[in-house]
Amino acid sequence: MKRLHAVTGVVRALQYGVNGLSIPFFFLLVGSTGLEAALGMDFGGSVIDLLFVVAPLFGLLGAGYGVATYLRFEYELTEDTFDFAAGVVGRTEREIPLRRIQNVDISQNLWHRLLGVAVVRIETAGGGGTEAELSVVSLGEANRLQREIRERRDSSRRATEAEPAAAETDEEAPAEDAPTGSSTADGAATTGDSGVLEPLFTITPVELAVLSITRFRPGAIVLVIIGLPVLPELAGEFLLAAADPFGGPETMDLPGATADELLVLAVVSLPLVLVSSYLVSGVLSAVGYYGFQLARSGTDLVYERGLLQRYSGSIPSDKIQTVTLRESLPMRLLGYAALDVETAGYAGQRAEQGSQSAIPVAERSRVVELARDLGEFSDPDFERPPKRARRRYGVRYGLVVAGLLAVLYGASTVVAGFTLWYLPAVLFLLVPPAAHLKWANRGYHVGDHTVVVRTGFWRRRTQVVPYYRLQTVIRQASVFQRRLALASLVVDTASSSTLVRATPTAFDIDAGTAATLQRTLRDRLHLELQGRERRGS
Amino acid sequence: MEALHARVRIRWVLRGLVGAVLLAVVVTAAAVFFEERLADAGVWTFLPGLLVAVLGLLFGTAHAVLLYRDWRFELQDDALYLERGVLTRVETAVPYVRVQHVDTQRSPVDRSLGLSSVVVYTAGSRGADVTVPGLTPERAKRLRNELRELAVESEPEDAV
Repeated sequence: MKRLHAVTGVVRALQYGVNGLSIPFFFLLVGSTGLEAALGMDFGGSVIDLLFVVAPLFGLLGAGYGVATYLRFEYELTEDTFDFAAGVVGRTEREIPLRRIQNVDISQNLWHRLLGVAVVRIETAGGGGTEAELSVVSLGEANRLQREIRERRDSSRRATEAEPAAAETDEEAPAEDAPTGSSTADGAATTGDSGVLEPLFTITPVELAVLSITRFRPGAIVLVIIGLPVLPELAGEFLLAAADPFGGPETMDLPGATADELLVLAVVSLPLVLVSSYLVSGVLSAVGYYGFQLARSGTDLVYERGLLQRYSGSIPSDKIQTVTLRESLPMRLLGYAALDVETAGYAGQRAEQGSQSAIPVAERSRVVELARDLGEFSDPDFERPPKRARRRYGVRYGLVVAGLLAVLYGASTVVAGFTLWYLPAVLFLLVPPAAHLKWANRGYHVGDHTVVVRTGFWRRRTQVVPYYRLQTVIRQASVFQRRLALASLVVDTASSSTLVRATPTAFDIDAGTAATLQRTLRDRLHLELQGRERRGS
Repeated sequence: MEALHARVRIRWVLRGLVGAVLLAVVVTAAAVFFEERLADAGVWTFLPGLLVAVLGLLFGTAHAVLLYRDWRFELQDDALYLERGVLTRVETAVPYVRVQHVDTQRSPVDRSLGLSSVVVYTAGSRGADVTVPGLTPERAKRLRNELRELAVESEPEDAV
C-alpha cells in the first residue's frame, strides 16, 4: 500500500489546524457574550485567558487529525483492481475493478504545479460521485497511475477475450469489445504498443482563437455581474455615459428616473454586460484549452489542456456512449466544429465541467474525420420533420411575442411614464425565419449501426448513438403534438449528465414514423447485440 | 396490453387531494394577508382557498380517471412496453437486456389500498427508473419475477 504525496500531510495539518484553532474562538467569544447576557454576569478577561489555553490545544488537535487523515489514506494498484483505504474514525475500503473504470483524470492548479503534484480522480459508471480521489500525489505518480490502469485494463481484456466463458456480464458486457468492425484490427494493432501515444490532434493558435471567439460560457455573465460591484463607480458611470445619447437617466439616482429612461438604460447596458462577459469568456476559454492535445494509447483517448491549471484525462474509447458534433452558429460561419464524447463515468457536478471535449474546436472536415476514426460517426443526409412542425414553431414563437406584448401593455397601464410598450412588436418580423431555422436544423437519420439526431440553430448538436448503446426508447407526444400527428422520440443511453447535454431526441417527427422507428431501434439493438456476441466468441 | 388495478385511481385522487389542500393553504395564507382588501371587495376571506381546493380536487380527480383509462403495459418479446400520460402521452420501451434490477415497492397508502408498484431500473440517464404503479401485490411479485427471468434470459452472453 502506498501513501499520498508528503505535501498532503503538511497541507492537511495546516488546513485542519486552522479549522481547529478557529472553533474555540467562535464558541468562546460568541458563547460567552450570549451567556453574559443570559446570566447577567461579566466574565471579564477570563474568557481571553481561557482562549489562550484552549485555542492552541484545538489547533494541535486539528493538525493532528489532518496528519492522521494523511497517514490513514493508503492506496494500491493491483493486477486487476485499484484499492484504497481511507478515514481516521470511520474507515472506507474500496476495491475498483480496473475493467469498470471509465475515466482517469489528472488536474493541477497553480499551487499543485509549483509543488509538482496533482489530483487524480477515478470514475466508474456506478455511484453518485467520483469513486476515488487522490489529493494529492506527485505528478509522476499520477501519470504512472493513469498509464498503468490503462495498460492493465487492456491486458486483462485481452486475457478475457482469449477465454470468453470467463467474461463478466453486466450492462457494459456487450460493449467491452472495441467498436464494431474495427475490433479485430484494433486488437491486433494494440497488442504490442498499448503504452505508446499516437497523437491525434493538437490545437493550433488559430483554432484557440476561434475557440475563444465562438465558445460562450454563460458562467462569464455571472462573473461579470459579481465583478460589477467591485468597480461600482466606474461601471455605473460608464453605463450612464453610454445610455445618455439615447435618453437614459442623467444620474445614478435610479428611483428618480422615469420608466422610459430606465428602459433605455436597461436596453443599453444589457449588450454592454454581454459584450464584457463575452470577452471574459474568451479569455477563460483560451486559458482553459491552451495547449490542448488529444492522443490515442491502445484503446484509450488521452487529452491534456490548460495554461494555468493543467488537466489531463483518459477516456476509454470502447466505453463511449454517444459522440456529439457541436457547431454553434459562429462556428458554422467560420467552418469549424467541436466534438464531445460521453461516457457513463462522470456524475453530478463533474459532468457539467465539459471536460469531455474530445476536440474543443477544429475545422469541420477534420473533426468529422476524427469522429469517424473514433467510432461509427457518419455525417449523413437528414430526414427533416414534416412541414407542419415548422408551422407549429411559428405559432409557438408568435404566442411568445404576443404574451410579451400583453405583459408590457399591462405594465404600461400601471407604470406612469412608460409608453413604449409596443416596441417589441418588431419581433413578429423574426417569427417566420426563426420557425424556419428551427425546423431546418432538426432531423434524424437511421444508419447501419447508428442513429443520428440533430437539433438547434444557435448551437447545433448532431448526436450519434450506436444501436448497441440504447437503453430505453421513449416516444412522447404532448397535446399540441398529437393535434398535428407529431411525436418526439427520445433515445436514451447510459451517459452521465442530462442537465447540460440533452438526451438524444428526434423532435416532432410524424407520429406514425415515430412508432415504426421505435420498433426499428429495438430490433436493431437486439441484432447488434447478437452480432457482436457472435463476433466475440 | 394490461391495465392497472382500478383502485389505483383512489391513490391518484388522494395525491390530487394533498396537492389541492397544499395549494389552498398557500392561497388562504395570501388571502389572510390581504384580508381587509378582500373584505372591501365583499369577498369572504376563505372563499379563494375553498375555490382553489374544490377546483384542484376536480382537476385531480379528472386527471386520475383519465390517467387510469389510458395506462397500459405489456411484456413484449424483447422489451417491457408502457403507455401512459394525459396531456403528454409517453410510450416507453425498456429492452430486457438493459434491466439492471427490479424492485417491488409499497408505500403506506399502497398497503392500505392493497396495492404495490414495480420499479424497473436501467443504466440510462433519462427514465433510468420506470415505475408500474397500481398492481395487486401478487401481480407485482409475479411481474417482478417475470422481468427478472426475462432479463437473465436475454443476457447477451446467452443470446448466441
